[in-house]
Amino acid sequence: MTHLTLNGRAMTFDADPETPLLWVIREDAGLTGTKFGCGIAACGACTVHVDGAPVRSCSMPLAEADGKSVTTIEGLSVDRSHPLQTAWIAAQVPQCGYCQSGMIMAAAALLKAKPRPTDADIDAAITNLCRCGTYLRVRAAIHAAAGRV
Amino acid sequence: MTGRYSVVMLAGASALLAAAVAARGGAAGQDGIHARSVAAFAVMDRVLTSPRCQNCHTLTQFPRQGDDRHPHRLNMMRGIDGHGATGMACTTCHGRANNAASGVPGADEDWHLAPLSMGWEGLSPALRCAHLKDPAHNGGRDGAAIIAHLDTNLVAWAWRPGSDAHGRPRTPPPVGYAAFKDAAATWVATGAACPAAAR
Amino acid sequence: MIDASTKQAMMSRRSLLAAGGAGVLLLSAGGWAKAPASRETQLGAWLRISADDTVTILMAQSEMGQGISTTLPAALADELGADWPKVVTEWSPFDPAFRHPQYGWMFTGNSESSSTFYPIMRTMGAAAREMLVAAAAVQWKADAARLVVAKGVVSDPMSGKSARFGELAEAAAKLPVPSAPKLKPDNELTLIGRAQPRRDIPAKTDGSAIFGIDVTVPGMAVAAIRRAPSPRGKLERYDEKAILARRGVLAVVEIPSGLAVVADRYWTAKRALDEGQLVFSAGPMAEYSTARQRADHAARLKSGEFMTKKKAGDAPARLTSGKTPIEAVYEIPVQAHATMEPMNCSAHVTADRCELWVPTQGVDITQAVARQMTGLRDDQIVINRTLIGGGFGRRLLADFVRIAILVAKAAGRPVKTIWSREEDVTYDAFRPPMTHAIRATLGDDGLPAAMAHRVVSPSHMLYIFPRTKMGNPPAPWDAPIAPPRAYDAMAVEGVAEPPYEIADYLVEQNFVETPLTVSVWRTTGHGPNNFALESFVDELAHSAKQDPLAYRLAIAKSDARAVAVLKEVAAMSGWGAKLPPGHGRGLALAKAFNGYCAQVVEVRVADRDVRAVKVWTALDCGRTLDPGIAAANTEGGIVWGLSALRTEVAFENGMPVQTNFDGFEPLHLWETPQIETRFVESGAKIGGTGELGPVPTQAAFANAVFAATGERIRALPLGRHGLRLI
Repeated sequence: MTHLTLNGRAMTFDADPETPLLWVIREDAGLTGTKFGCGIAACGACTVHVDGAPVRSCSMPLAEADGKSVTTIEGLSVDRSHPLQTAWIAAQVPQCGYCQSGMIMAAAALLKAKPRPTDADIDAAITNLCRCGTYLRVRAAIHAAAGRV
Repeated sequence: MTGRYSVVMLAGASALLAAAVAARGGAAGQDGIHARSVAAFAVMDRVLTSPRCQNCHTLTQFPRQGDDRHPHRLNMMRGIDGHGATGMACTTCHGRANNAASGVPGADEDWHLAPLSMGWEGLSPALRCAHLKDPAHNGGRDGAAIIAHLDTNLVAWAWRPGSDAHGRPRTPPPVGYAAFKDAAATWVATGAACPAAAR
Repeated sequence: MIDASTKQAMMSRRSLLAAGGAGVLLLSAGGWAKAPASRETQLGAWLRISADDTVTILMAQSEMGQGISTTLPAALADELGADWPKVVTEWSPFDPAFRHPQYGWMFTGNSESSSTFYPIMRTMGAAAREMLVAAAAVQWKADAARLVVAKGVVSDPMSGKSARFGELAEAAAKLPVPSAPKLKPDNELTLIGRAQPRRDIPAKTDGSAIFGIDVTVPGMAVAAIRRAPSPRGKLERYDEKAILARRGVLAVVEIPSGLAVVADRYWTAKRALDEGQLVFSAGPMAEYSTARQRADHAARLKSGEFMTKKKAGDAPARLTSGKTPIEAVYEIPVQAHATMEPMNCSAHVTADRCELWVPTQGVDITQAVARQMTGLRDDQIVINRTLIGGGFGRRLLADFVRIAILVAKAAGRPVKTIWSREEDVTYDAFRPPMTHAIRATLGDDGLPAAMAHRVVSPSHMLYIFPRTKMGNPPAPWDAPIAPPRAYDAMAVEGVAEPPYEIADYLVEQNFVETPLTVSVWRTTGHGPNNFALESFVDELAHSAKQDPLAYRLAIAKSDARAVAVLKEVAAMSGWGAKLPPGHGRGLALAKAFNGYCAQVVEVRVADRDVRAVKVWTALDCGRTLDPGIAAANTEGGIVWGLSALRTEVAFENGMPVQTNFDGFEPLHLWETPQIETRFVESGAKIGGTGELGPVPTQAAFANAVFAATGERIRALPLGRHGLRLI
């Protein structure tokens, strides 16, 4: 059995401990905001926070999350009030939207560690793939939310 | 398979050392020990220059990956402390063990780069050897600490490097782990001599 | 239940509507539509009004990031005079009422949603408005002409009376449908023409937006699939016992070229497939390789049969007399869609019902495949559309629906079948490889006097040709079928009707039959064709020692819209400005998707590394219905176009070399240039913005590299020239 805290709630999972955390979040916990895009940590759609740090959950086995605190996109706010979410809506960032949960979680981790990132910081931290090409607005929204997280 | 390989290499290394000593003939003592030391380093250097080690002991602001040592995909950066850029630590993807599903390598230690002071790529063997025993270039380690470092999870990983995202196994260094540690112990014990610089 | 004659009547009324007049409104949504909730009134096929004034607008077009789920309902609401915050939207069911009037089937693609359905939305909104007004006029014994409608309320300025839509709807629905409703003047619209906050965006920022892969229904199991690594190869054997031994596995289902495992969790199913030791052999693609394909195309250029697609004057005669022609050959690779959301579909099939939950661009084809596979009637089939995590043309097909139905039927319960990324790429319907050979001679003025353009390409239309247009459509609908050659124009679009005046002009195509599964990809034929044509025009300009902008202005001079976008982008970019060392700028013009786009790309080259520094785009889509959405489509599209400079799916020994994002690497954030977009409002017929932006990007980039280095890029991807896009 694996015990962890998920968006503030203590939870127990009986899935195979080798199961990527991504699938436990999506299926056992029923939180589908975190997305499957590639399975090889190359796209970032599966990004969550584990003990406050960003993790590509397709590449973390459930066992490694034992005893840890996991935050998904659903846990960022209860009402879309996280400064990144308001900035994302103001800048109309998403197009198809599939990559955006991971994108926002990566941005949230960046802003937590560096409240006012430079463009070079954003280049290095936001490596998520977006096939719709929303990158310019992602960058603008991160700058807009800077200092407010 | 690794065990058998390292036995062969151990035998080879010992033979090398024995031959080096024998070649010195009667002028044993300092010359013989020096030769043994240099020979031991030569064995170590085959590991130090293998991609599994050099990909993290870089002299660049980025890590490398693969046997062809291409710059790590996805714009991965060294960051301030070698643990990755702010918001994109190495541990964002690299976990506590090799991940067969994603092909991402990992070890039971925070995945990170060796500091720039411990970068080896492009150095001559003589310089690399000098850096290996220079506290300014080896994390302030004495001989015993150098030996102890070889038991850390990140170093040990090189010999069990797992497979990539497409199931292709990564190649371990060309000298077995045990033989490598043995050569390192010998090198330290024999005064950590370095090869002459090439002209 | 709609009988056949009523169905026929509905269809012809529909086409009347499309034929240019307001025509006759459909009164009923058809037998398969969701019955309105109590206290809701259906007002035509497209909207319902509830007693609490909620206006529910149905959407025929699928949402895949292009914002159509905001713009089309906004057009109807705007014309209707509804209170926009009180409008909710719902995907339409499968129904002939929602078909594209010209093609006769429900589909979202080819940048046609706005141009096709915007007039329909206006008409529907106007008709509903007039019916509500008429109802109020009757109740108040007032002259309808003086009543005003705003924010969901009809009022009479003279008497002061007013009534909400919810109060009038029932009475309105009983009135005759106006045969020619009067549209508002455009300057009275308050939503259209302005950037509207997209309705789907908030849910896309908090994880609540549901894509196909996110659907869960009670009792649902999940399936993973694995097929031959060479597309359409054969599953030789597998260890069923080992698969069934894994706890949680519910069923093993053979599918074409492979196996599906149904389980309680996706990971269980995937691991079971690993344990099943599946052994495959290659099929029809066994001998296919990129090297062979290139050689084959080269051979066809030499001695293949070419079909004339466009002819003006006598280019071959002109090209063989007089000066030696300038010639160039351009090679364009296979591309994968690689939508961020991998292929997936959920299905529940019983003896008398087939329900699907599917991110689809093609409702008609999905319905047809469901019909063919289950033998059920249309009214027994329910298609629940979800948001789409990237379409780009891939989800116009129904191959993934077929597999999901197969698996669900065998499992006897609802099943969601999920593709791994490797399955998704390997079994893509790829953008086909194309090769262009262009020859031209210049007149004394340096402008092209004669041009002959040969295109070697498979048809792009094998899967997306509307079967509804065929008298006897073959079964199954999801199998490829070549449209009549005369109709099959996609591989030459953009070159058959260029914005240029060239007196002797010939375009020909050699139709390649290939074992590769090929279909449309965002920019369809326009994208690759523009790369060839606009690179070549640049080569001609250089040969004539003329500036690329001046050259294009000269040859496009009789096309006012082309001239306008060229001048606009020149002004935006400061064309002709001195650039820092290592920098170069390139220009390209596109006439595509009923619009025009001129683009300037500036690059910086250092050794073999090329960086796109900035892109300027002037776009004329006739009328920009939503400048915010259009700008986003364009910016994202330019990123799409730049990505295509370095991505490809190469084949060796019948298998794709790239099967995931490590090998097939689209642009990332740090590689994205600044982009400036400006819209030219020509007032012409509305065109689409979903695909227009990326059409000229590759040629503009390649021309910029030439400007910086003197090196011509004639083969893509850039890696073929040893160049890296950074």
